[in-house]
Amino acid sequence: MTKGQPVFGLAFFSALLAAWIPAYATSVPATTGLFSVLPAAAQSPDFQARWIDLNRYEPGRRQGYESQIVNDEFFVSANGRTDPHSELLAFMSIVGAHVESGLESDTLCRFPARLLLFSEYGLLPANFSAPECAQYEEAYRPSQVRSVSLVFASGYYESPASYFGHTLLKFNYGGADGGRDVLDRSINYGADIPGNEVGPLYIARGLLGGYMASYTDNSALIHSYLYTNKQLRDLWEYPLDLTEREIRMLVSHAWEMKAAHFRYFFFNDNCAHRIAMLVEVATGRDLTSSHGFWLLPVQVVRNLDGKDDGSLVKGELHHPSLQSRFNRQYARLDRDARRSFTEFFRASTEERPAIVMAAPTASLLLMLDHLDLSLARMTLESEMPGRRAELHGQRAVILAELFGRQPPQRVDSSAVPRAVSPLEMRPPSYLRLGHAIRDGRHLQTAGYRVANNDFLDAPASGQEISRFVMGEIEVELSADSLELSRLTLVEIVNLDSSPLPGALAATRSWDIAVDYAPWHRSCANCADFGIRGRLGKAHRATDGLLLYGLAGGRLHTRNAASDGVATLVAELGFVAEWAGGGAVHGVTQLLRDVDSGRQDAVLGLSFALNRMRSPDVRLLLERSNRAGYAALQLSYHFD
Amino acid sequence: MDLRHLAICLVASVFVTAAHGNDTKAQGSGPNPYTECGIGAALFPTVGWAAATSNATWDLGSTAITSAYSSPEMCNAKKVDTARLILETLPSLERDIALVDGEYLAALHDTMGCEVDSRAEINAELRSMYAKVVSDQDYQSRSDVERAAELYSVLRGVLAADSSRCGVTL
Repeated sequence: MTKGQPVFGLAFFSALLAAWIPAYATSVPATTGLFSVLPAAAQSPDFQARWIDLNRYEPGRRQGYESQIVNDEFFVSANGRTDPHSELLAFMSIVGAHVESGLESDTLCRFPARLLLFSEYGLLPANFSAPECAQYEEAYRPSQVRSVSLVFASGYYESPASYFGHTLLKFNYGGADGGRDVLDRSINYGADIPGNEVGPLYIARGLLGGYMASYTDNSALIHSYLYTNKQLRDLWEYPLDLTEREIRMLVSHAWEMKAAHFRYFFFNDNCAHRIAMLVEVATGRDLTSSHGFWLLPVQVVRNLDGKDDGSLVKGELHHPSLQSRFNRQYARLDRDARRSFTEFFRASTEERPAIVMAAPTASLLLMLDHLDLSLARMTLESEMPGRRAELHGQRAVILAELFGRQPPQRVDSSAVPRAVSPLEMRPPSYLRLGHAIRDGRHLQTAGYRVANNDFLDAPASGQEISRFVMGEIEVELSADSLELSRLTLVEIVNLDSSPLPGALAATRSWDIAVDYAPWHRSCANCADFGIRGRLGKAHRATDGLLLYGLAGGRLHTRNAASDGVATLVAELGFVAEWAGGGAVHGVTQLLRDVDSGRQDAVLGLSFALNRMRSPDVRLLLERSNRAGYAALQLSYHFD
Repeated sequence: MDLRHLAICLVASVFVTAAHGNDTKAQGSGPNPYTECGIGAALFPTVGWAAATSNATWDLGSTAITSAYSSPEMCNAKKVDTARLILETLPSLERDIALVDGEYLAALHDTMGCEVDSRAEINAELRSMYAKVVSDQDYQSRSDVERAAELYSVLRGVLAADSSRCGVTL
């Protein structure tokens, strides 16, 4: 790499950041005096601030205010979207009309949170009688909401929009401590994406505000089922420690926001941001803080547990996915039950009825789960009608046998072992300093990562070990130079393992990277910009040992060591974890430049010596056919 | 009539045949929501790669059902909620019915407002009748919506035998 390239790399990264400028970077102007012609209570800075928050006003691009709510029809004043004062006057006039003539009930029923705010500040006339809002009462039954939970759905690598997980709210009617009740409702926020959207356009529009987004509600049980049994994602539920007044405000505000539309920005105006804002408006707490312009769902979860104002988290419930439950139950099958399980899936159609007749019920239930997992994956990945009918055929054989038996006295539904909680997970961003020796030359290294995890970080609940890096930069400082050594826009290594033997596993692993990176750490002057893609397999040999292999290629710019633009890359590796918080990643890599025939073989070992929540110590050792590399790295992780 | 509406009507007419092939109106008091309440639209979910996200894959057909309150006396909310629950959680519900136990079977009873004392009896009848459905040669070739409609019909028949056991008549 020449001396000019680091500057170019940094400028490129800065330009990229500039393109994602946050929507809320500017400070909110003082609101005092906005409503000077209004009753005294409406002139209080506190009321005005809450009116601004409730209607999502922010400083306008040129002057005054502008609401983040983009649909004009949400507001009762013709220019309510850009004029908080006018909107307040118009709403007060509607309240007055209702008092005088009983009219405008429908309009008032759209804004129960505004009415609640007015009530708190004594702005409702003494003879005001609340309108009967049948739709609101029927949909949310606000007086019956016992508690509210924030639900975190773990990340999901089959869909780019869900890599960082998802958040939603749940109104609990059954109890103060959450849980799953058929009457509960969930509140979701998401982009309205056309079904036929093509990939690049989808990414561009998602990043740059090209989609509208809105709140929707659904049966929480059905919604939960969608995540755990169809998308195979673990859920974590956090019942919130809210007062009765806060619950009322949250529920009424959620109803109000159902009519609002927003622009969707993947990084900073997303599900995490908008769901958290509902809680913020109700509690006055800051839940959307982040050291960067982005906001990840897991950051909101951890902000709930913030120590400054006391935790809003009252408890934690884990709802494991069908995949997590299957893995657990399969591990508990005895040898005979496992044999009948594998025999069934290897048998012909004619042989299956006899196998299920002899199989224990526990094995039959696992067979059903395995088929349901296959059907869920098929729905998510690709539609194959013939295969779908075949899977349903196998289900029918098992179901017919189960229905033909006496129901078991007791079904073993032992809990999935406790997984790493999002509250305990290592924060996604880090600052890293290190000392390295490459081929006898001493270097200092410094790095920063936006998110999220690598092989040596404990995987999130319900996920396999993976590498998911979004925004990483590393520089090397030597006695005579400062060079950019790595710049990662995105790197995903998705290792998909299964406890099942051989062909039954039916999993696939893959990786993709867009980065500026060296061929390997032990070579100097071999970094280039490129795009890498590989396919492979992963296998969990034991609870603490994962084996994997990936092969593919990288298209890249020419670098100082080679004129080629295409490199074949194959990798065999393992990740071993041990109790007490440590992990080692071992890797053998073979790289071959297609044009020049240059070939490098690399052996590497990385140790995570400590797996505490924020501090992290790494030791890296690498040896290639050209040179050696060793480094000691100290990192600090934060939100 | 645009193409989408035409398609929905065509699918609905197929369901009338498929789901009610063995249906006698004596089984229950109203229509099957999968046909007359508009859930036929559920056959047209947009499950592109972009849509298969937490944001977009909101449900299979719930929106279609919910928006089909055109004749509330025929497709009342409880009936629609029951139909939604069956459609969206069918695989687990089938398993629960076979085991006569489970979260989704309990949710089904809750949705229909069934008396606690009557649940065991309903479960036994439901299990007995649904056993015939899963043993049917045609079961495996049916679509998800057709299977859901079949379970709904069986359930309706069970409740019709003694309508006092649950708060809803399907």
